[in-house]
Amino acid sequence: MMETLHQLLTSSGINLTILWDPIDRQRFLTGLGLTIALAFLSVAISLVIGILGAWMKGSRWEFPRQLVTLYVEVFRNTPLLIQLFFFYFGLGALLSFELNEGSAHIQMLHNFGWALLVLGIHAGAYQVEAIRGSLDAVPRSTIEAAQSLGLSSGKIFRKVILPLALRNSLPAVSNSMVQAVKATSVAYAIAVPELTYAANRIWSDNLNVPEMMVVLFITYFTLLGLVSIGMRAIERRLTLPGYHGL
Amino acid sequence: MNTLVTTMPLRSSSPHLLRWLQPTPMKILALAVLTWAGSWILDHRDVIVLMVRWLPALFEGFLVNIGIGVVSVVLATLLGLLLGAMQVSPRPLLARPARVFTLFFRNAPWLVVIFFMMYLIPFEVQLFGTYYQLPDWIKVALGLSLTASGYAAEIVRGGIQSIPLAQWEAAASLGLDRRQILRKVVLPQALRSMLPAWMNLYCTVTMGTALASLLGIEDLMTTMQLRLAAESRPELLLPGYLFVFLVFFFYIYPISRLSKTLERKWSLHD
Repeated sequence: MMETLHQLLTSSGINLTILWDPIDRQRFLTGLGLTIALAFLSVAISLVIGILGAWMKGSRWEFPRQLVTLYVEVFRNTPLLIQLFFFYFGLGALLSFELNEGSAHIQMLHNFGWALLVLGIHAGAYQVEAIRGSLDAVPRSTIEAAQSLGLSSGKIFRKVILPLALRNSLPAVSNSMVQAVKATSVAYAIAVPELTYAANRIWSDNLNVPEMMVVLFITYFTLLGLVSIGMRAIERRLTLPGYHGL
Repeated sequence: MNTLVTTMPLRSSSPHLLRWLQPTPMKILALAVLTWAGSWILDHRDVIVLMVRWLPALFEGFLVNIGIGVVSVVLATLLGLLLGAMQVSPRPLLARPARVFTLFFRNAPWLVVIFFMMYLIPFEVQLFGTYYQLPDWIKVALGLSLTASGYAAEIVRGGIQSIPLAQWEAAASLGLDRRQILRKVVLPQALRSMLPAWMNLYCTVTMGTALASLLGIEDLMTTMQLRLAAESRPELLLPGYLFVFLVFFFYIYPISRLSKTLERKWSLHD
């Protein structure tokens, strides 16, 4: 079947090597896997940063608030690529040289780690604002009700405010997930073999730029579509019936 | 009399001065960072000399970034105005394609769209019988403007829809047709809510221009990287990349700050 498809496509001038060349297919699938991994893990990191930052931004003391503001402003107002280069070449060079001289596999993990870190920190700066907004939106009366039940302030934050706020921030979080999937393509710059990098390799080997470009667009749109469908399903599941307080 | 003269200014300025000198953790942190940076500079005077010598080239590199940014934001604005106006059109034949186009470019990764333009636009175009070579930076600007036009279209659509329907009806009752209403009544009023978002878009596009360095255009980052590679001194890497980082930050931050201020100011009055 693959043979006939191969012949059919080639005879009509479409050189889609990822379908029949095992090496190209492997490259493409690895790229897809790495893109998905980068997107999910960086969103996870950004959520942790976002919750922590939003909590610090509501602090009684000025210092943690200013620290979070500094972080948010710096990382929202500089290009992701420059952040990546700064961390990878600037800080990475400082940290260790022997780490860079490992085998190719270690090198790849190394690059992946840096890309993940920077993508997470970058997305975290956006997440802080989103989560802070929904923390503030938790009604005063709900917090007072929790206080009157005798819960400690830490418990109130963890068990009352945060679950409500996270629910409320789901639209913003799903937006940031979309941004995270799109941002993974920048990891191309430090040779993480994700989707864009893989497509680049494939089209420079086979000179099939138009075909791979279409494949690339379709793959990204499918990923983004899946993300927004999934997030909408989660949103629907987590809705509290009859709770319109937020 | 004498004492009065000497104490008066002191008394009036001292609370202010005191508040300034009052140590807060943030100020201590800033002081520590400045001291550390100062001592680093004193230890590495040759690095500073080198950087100063590079400054003209780096400045030229950053001008490339700004040029790409301005060209693509202008193109994106024009395209966005068209697409946004099409989106609110009652005719599905106009609205549907505009919506699809907007959705497409808003969801495509910037880098992929730039690759798309880079590889699929011919390197020269024929206009009136003569061939013009398209420089690479124009292609990057076109790629950025396609993505940005999706965002611009959303800004325009949001701005148009923020104007109450009564305005449309009032204008229609004065005998204006749809295009006149849009151009003379709705868009001028929508400008106020659109400007802060548009400034934000400019920031985003300028940040996007950094991607040009991945395609071999001699922008700020490429210029710095070429210089750093020529020196090949590892201790230069951190200050070099930090410099690029800070240049972008100090260019973009004031604009985004102004945009936020305008947004707050204008939304309060409505």
